[in-house]
Parts: sequence; C-alpha cells; structure tokens
Amino acid sequence: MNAARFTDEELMAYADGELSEERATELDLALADDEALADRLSLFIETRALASDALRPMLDEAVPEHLVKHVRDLAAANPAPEPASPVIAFPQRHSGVPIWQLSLAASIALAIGLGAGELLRGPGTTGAGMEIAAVSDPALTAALASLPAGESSTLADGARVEAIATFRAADGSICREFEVDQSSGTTFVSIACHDGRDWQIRIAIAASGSDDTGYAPASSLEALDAYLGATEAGPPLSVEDEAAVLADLR
Amino acid sequence: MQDPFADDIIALLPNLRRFAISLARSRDTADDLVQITVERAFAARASFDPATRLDAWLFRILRNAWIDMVRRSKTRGTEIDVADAPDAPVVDGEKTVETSLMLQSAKAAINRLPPDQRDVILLICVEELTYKEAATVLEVPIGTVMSRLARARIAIAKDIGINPPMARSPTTEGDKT
Repeated sequence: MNAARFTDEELMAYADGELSEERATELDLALADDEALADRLSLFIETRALASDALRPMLDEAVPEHLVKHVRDLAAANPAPEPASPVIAFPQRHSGVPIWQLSLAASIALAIGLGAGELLRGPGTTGAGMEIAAVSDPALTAALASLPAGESSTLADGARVEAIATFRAADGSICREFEVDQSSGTTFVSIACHDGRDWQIRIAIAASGSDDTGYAPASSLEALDAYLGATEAGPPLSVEDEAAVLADLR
Repeated sequence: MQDPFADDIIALLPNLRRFAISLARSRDTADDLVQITVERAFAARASFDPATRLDAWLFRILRNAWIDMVRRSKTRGTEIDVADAPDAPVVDGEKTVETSLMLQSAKAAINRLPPDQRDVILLICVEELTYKEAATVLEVPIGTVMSRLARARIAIAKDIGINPPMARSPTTEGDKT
C-alpha cells in the first residue's frame, strides 16, 4: 500500500485526539516507518503541551475577592430555576380523562383496531378489506421487535417507523408506542402490544397531513394519553430494560 | 445555602480570567470582563444545558462580552503587552532554568499570535475544549478552527525554534513579518 498522505490538520487532530478512528489507524501504520511524519506530528503534540504549561501559572494568580463575592451575591439574587420536567415521560401525562372529553382536532381520526396494512399503505388500498389489528407486515414486525426507542427506520414502501417508547400494559404484556409516517404524508401514532405470538395494534391515531415536520401534532397525543391512562399503562422502560424485554420476545 | 452553579463558576474564575487576559491583554479590563460574564451567566442560567460544558458556555459569554466592549470603547487601543505584566510568583525550586526559559518563550510566542489564532490556542490547547466546542464558542465553522489552530501551532514552533517544520502538506504557513 502506498504511504497515505496526511495534512497538517490531520496530524494536529491526531495529536488532539480528534482524528477519525479509521484515519488514525492509517496514521499509526504510516508513522511506523516514516520518521519525518513522526517529527511533524511531534510538532503538534509539543506545541499543545507547551501552550498548556506556559499559561498554567496564570491559573495560580489570586482571583480578586470582589469577583468571588460578586458571584455569591448573584447566586443569592438569582436562585436556581425549578428543574424542567421531562418532555416525553408518560407519568407526566394526565390520566383518567374519558376519551369523549378530549378536544380532538378536526384533522385527527381515531382508528382503533386498524390493521398494519392500513398503517403502511393508507386506507382503501388493502386487498383484504379491513385487517383487524394483527401486524402482518414483516418489516413493521421487525421494527417493533428490535428498533430502540428514539430511533427510526425506513420500510420498503418509503414509510418511516419511529419507535417512541416501550412499556408494560396493566396485564404485563410488552407494548410499544411508535409512529408511522406514510409516504403520502399522513402520520399515525400507534401502540402495539405483544400477545405472546404477534404484535397486536391496540390504537392508531391518524394525524393527517400534520405539518412539514412529519411528526404528529401534539393534539393527537391527547387521545393517546387518554388511552394510556385508561389502560393503566406502566412508565416507559429504560434503554437497558427495553433492550432486555425485546430480546426476550425474539 | 450552597448553589452548585455558583460554586462551579467560582471554581472556573481563574480560567475565565486567563481567557479574558488573553483577549483583553490587561488584567483590569479582564476583571471587568469576568464580572460582566458572571452577571450575564446568572441572567441566562435557565438557558444553560447541564449536559454541556459550563466552561465552554462561559467562554462564549465572555468572548461576546469582549466583542461588545471593543465595539463600544475600542478598548484594544489601550492594551498593554501582557508579556510585560507580572505573573504570580512561581515558587518551584525543581524547575530547571531551561524549562522555564522554554515556557517563557512559548508564552511570548502565544502573545505574538494574531488574536484569532491566540483564541483557538487558549480554548483548545490550554482549556482543552474540543474543536466542536471551540467552534461554538467562537461562532465559526470547525474547519476554520482547525486551520487557525494548525497555523498557530506552526507559528509557535517556528517562533521558539522547535522542530523546524517541513513543507509537506497543503497547510499554508503565512510567514509573519
């Protein structure tokens, strides 16, 4: 293999621990038999150490007392703000609100029991009429079985699936909240639970033509909150717990 | 009552002063800058993201305060050469004369750098920010940070005569006059 060429900026990034792993490995190999390259690299290592050492004594200078006092006074006058509440956590959602009391936005259609085919292809295009609730699409099944919360994957037909959270239903079964963005622009917010054999869709809310972000508008989450509250869903599992329960299902 | 935010800022005051001195080249102006910085930090404390580095956040506030100050009063016109200002006495009998001479000349070389290059040396080599963090503080792209930093280090090496650089790479070395 020809000796790879390295720019000064790459050598510097290596000295600073910021070179990509792949490039750093190449550089390691090149350094072994290129003394000039090693000398050039040492320039960047030495200058960093020198700059750091040369200016270190400045840290030993006494900080004027009035600055320290000023910070204390400011702290007394500006107490810490209340910690912000987490945005996504289920337990923060109001529970027990009857679903008929919700002010559902006109654009939201509630579609309990809609099949996965509907989710992925949109209504009116399924050959078998209304599919009832079992997830039969292998790509969606695979996504539900393995996609960690917060991550998304694209299905063959261009739809995007994003896993939102994983939790236990009141009966102990594992459920997943997820969103499907159809290529048509419609977003479904949905919950599917695993019955021991298959994923069953428990609720799907169409937030049609939401906005250009492709995410479901907040109003569609009210219906979801009502569902989660009414069914006494458990809190979202941690990343580790989620990975463990999903592995158990496979 | 203890306020960790205040404690953390107090612990960083020496670093803030060091950065301020490097910008303003005057200890009096630097102390004014640090004071403005901590005031702005408390006014904006709700916007600090604890997942990020407090020092980088403070450096950014400090640098913006410095830019404001320069715009308002052309303070740079009254700067003094920080190399002439007294350091805190370093009491370290073990230090060899050679090392301290080397460090003195490194410090002088840093002080001779153009301000843009001195900033990246301070933030990255001295304060150990990442390239990305420094880019955020300085509000420039990472590529700009890297080219300034490489030029600055080559200039320092040349200035103090270590490891004469070879013309081997595309980095332009912009000879100083």
